[in-house]
Amino acid sequence: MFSAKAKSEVLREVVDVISTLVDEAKLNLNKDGLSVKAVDPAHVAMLDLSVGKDAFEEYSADDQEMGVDMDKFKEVLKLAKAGDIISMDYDEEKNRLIMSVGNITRRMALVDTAGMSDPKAPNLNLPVKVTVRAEELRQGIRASESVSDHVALICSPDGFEMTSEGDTDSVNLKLPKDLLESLDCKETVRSLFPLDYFSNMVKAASSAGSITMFLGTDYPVKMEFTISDEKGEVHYLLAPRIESE
Amino acid sequence: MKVSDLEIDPRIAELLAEEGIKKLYPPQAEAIGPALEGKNVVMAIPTASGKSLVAYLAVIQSVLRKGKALYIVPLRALASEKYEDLKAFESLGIRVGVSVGDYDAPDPTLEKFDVIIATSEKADSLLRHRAHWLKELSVVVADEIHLINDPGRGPTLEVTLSKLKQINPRAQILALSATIKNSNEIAEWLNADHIASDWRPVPLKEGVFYEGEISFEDGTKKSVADCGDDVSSLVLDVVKEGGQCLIFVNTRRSTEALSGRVGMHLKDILEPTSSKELAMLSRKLQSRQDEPTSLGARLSRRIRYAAAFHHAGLTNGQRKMVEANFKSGLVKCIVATPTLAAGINLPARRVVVRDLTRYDPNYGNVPIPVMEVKQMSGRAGRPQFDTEGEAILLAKKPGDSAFIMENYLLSEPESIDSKLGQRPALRMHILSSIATGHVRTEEELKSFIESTFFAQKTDFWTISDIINDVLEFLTEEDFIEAGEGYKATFFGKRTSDLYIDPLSAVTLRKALGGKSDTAFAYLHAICATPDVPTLYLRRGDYEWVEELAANEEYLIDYDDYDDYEFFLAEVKTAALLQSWIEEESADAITKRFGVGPGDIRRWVDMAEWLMHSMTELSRIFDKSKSRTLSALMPRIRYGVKKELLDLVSFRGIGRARARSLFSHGYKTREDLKKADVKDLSRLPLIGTTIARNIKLQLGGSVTIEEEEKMGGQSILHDFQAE
Repeated sequence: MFSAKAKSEVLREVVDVISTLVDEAKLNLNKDGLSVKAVDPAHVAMLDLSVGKDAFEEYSADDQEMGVDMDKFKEVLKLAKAGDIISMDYDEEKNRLIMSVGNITRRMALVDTAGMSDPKAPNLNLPVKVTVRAEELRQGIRASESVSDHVALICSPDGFEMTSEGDTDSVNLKLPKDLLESLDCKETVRSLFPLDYFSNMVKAASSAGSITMFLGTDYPVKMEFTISDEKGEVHYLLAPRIESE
Repeated sequence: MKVSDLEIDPRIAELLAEEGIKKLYPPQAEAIGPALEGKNVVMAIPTASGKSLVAYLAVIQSVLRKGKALYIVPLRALASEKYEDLKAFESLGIRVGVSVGDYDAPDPTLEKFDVIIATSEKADSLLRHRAHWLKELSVVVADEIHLINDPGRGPTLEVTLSKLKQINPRAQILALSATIKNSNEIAEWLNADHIASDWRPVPLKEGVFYEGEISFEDGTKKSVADCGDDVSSLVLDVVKEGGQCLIFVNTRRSTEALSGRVGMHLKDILEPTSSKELAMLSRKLQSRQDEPTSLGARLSRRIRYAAAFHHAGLTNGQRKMVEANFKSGLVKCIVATPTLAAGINLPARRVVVRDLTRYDPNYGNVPIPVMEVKQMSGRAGRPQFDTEGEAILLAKKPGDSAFIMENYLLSEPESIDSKLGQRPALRMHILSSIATGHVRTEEELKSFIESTFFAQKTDFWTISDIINDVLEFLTEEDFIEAGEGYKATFFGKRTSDLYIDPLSAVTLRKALGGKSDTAFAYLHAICATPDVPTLYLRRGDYEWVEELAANEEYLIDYDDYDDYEFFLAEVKTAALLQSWIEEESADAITKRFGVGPGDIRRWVDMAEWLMHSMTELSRIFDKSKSRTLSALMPRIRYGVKKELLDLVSFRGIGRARARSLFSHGYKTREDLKKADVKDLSRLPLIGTTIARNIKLQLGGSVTIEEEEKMGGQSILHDFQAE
């Protein structure tokens, strides 16, 4: 059993976070809320999302899995304005999700979850933790996008840096320690990431005030932020590019 | 003795000078004279005191005089080591080749080389294929000749040398041996000068450790700070002083457990820079596995703290990685099974032998021979790094110290014996001698046996009964025809060429007369031959193996067995191969069958070989089976279902990658041709390098722009299980 009502912007955030990595996802539902674990087809990035039931206007669910095609979900969201309430009910008999916005009802066939196992997150030992205002990162990405396909994230005890080197131009965002929300860093670390992935992840954090990143050298980055008025929690992992020696 | 005083080609002297070799060690100086004169020489001196150099010099000198050399080594790993060494002389115009692979081929390409390095099995098979250049050999080097003592492989080395002596009596023989009691007898057998010495480039101190103190053979004592664990204390003690430690234990399980324990102590004293490098190495070990296994993950975890384990269950890649990083000094300690001592040259300042007994399924715990302990101890002391080496044997209870001192430290190593007198060895080598025409009459057979080391020590007639039995067996089973002399049948010749035990050929022939046509039935048939060792049955195995056994069809039925246990062990072994070709993951196989990934490889190699033999024999006995059989071969080699065979034919594409391609819709070469490099590179397990490689092998090219876009993206999997 699953039945819930939520504001359209809350669902939009959830969908953005998921569709950054995958087209289809398995939602794990239980009485306390929903969660998603997914890895993108190239195995470069991983998502661990949980949204508590408080994020919804109404929520009740038994333990169950639901396979959702994110594009279809988005089509429904497009019909709604901010503040509209969307209701969702699970039709067990036909294995469909019934969504209504205003006077429209969409009966959405679900995806078979048999092949969708929960990925196991690597147990990483990341020495550096830095929290940056999301707006600063978005600004840095906007500046980088015209210059290169990748971005280096660098952290030292003095501050955080983001640089992009193109063939001719380069972009550098430098945030000294006092402009950071917090910094826990004893050694300088540096890893290079594909900009498209990084950018989409940061953009998915549209309502988050700040983003916390865990970093190492030539190591994946772990990003953490909240959505849905801090009632949802997102963890992303992104694998680095390894620069040739 | 100075190199400049040697009567060698000035070009060799020059090259040696470039390598920084100016002086010869005393045993080298003693041996070099007769070696360069072309005399047969047996050198019995400790490991790492420069035997090989003497052999190299004699080989090079002979080749520069238009000669040709065969260098016989016991292991494939050693073949590549020798190859690297001898390649240094290529600037003199010497062509060096290695031959270790496929036994069922004469390998015509070998002829063009001046120096050919081969394992003793390969050398034997070259003899069987009558490679004519064998008669042109001017030098034969037999490395580690004391392995004649090995019941499994010793006879092959012995027979090969005996035959070479007979067909080419002019060839000079250089035999290199560890220190053994009766090396003079070997010299006598080979009609060679005997050079024996205990001299070592790095002096060796041997001792016993008990309750925090090492008592050395020379009466001195040294106390060792206790960290709570005996072996770890010994490791910490030497690592703190800048040395490394090799530890020998008697089971694989112990290597893994002990290296973990040692690492827990070592991690606190590692320098930050090496910690970082070790972390990187650890990641590499994890991500560079063809297929991840839990053994790989364990090795990766251990190596993080500079203590690795080393046993035959590791893959070749893993072993090489451990060895190379020990040589570079990054890894501080290796815990190994004694196989390491027989293998490549990997010295350390301190060697600890923890276990002096070993489990033998027939006798329970038996003491390890002195010769083997000396081999292990001999690894102590790294030339150029250490001023002395220490070999330490562990006493486990009071009273052990005196016993160890008496029986190991102060004892001479045992004599070695020929193992040719045993039935399987005789069966195999008599057939091959007849099949190649080396032996045609009873007289020639006798003279051949008398040319072996076996006859040196034992009277021919003591084994004449066994020989008669073997001849009878070979005649009854149609391998040879006994008329006036001995002559091999076609079946006999093929069996000899295929390099399988005649008893295996009998089993395979019988299987080919059977009715079943399932993959499992064929796999079981090859596991029923003596050439494929069977897996042990563990207590928990009986139930599932018996159930499996009841549900399969067979070509060799269990009615033929006296002992049901043997049958079940074969079924279990066949089940391993079956799981492999049904694409069960390497990790699952290692867990279910209690083996390491390196073991899977070994069984697969043997199975492929026997399946090849069965295919060849089917051409004689039942042609209709040839097709099914030859289709099974590549599946065994690659460990895949039939549908992946097209994909695994690409270089760099193993079964895991092929499966990834297949399940994403790239099922044939055609699909790959049409595919976009970028799409391929994003597939799990593929990545940019492989994607590019596939395209290159398809004859396509990758634009710089495409390459730029992909450059070095890793996947999360690379960081799994840290």
